[in-house]
Amino acid sequence: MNTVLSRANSLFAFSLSVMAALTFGCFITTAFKDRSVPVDIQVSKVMIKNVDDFTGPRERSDLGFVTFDISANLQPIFDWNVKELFLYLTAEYSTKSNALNQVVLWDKIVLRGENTKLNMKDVKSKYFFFDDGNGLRNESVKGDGVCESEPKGDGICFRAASG
Amino acid sequence: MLSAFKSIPTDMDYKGQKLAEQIFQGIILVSAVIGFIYGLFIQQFGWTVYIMLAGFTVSCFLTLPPWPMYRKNPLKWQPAVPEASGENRDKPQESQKKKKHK
Repeated sequence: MNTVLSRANSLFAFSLSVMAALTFGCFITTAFKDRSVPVDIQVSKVMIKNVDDFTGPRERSDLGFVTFDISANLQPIFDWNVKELFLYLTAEYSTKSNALNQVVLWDKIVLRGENTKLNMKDVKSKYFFFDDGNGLRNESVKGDGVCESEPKGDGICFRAASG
Repeated sequence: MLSAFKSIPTDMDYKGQKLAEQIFQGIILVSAVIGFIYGLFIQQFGWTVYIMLAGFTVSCFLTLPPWPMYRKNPLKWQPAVPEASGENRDKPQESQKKKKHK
């Protein structure tokens, strides 16, 4: 501690350790919170076609077109440990060949500071709803809205919203 | 220009170093606690970091330059020994060093 450099070194190292402890404290205060939010999803139009599946082996598969409305208020999820939210909508159904299929239809990134009230009508699905095979006819499909939050501390938490 | 910087004395005595360390540790801990509580209250971690950086800057200003308050207990050096007895002590030490190197 005799020279300026030595003092600056110990000062900086101490500040860094204290910052690490503060970040850990930030994580501890928010990591175990329940982050589920009620979401309202309504499907307005469904259409199924049987076309050539261009994403994989060349067979005819069922292609679904879904148009839906989604509305949610995401404000309670944004605490000080959340930097952005990644929302996605999956369709779950079961066929003869697979017990559980999950297909992501649509996703959206909500950054901190942007509008947190989600109110979208007649949203077309972003990604193709292909079934491996012809299992989409006459199947009831359950839509599941999941939001994945990107935190500032450690840990990525999954919280599903019912829909 | 660099020689002007190097000629500024930057040392402190030991009690001054201890005081400087206590000061900066205290300031940083206090600003960390204040920042944590304020950030928890408004739910924005950015403010916690800003308050910590403010505390860091204040403690930099208070402890890096050698203020006079850190030099209040200078070391008491022994008075210099006159040179005649210094030469007598050097010669037996040199002969002992030659024996060790063999």
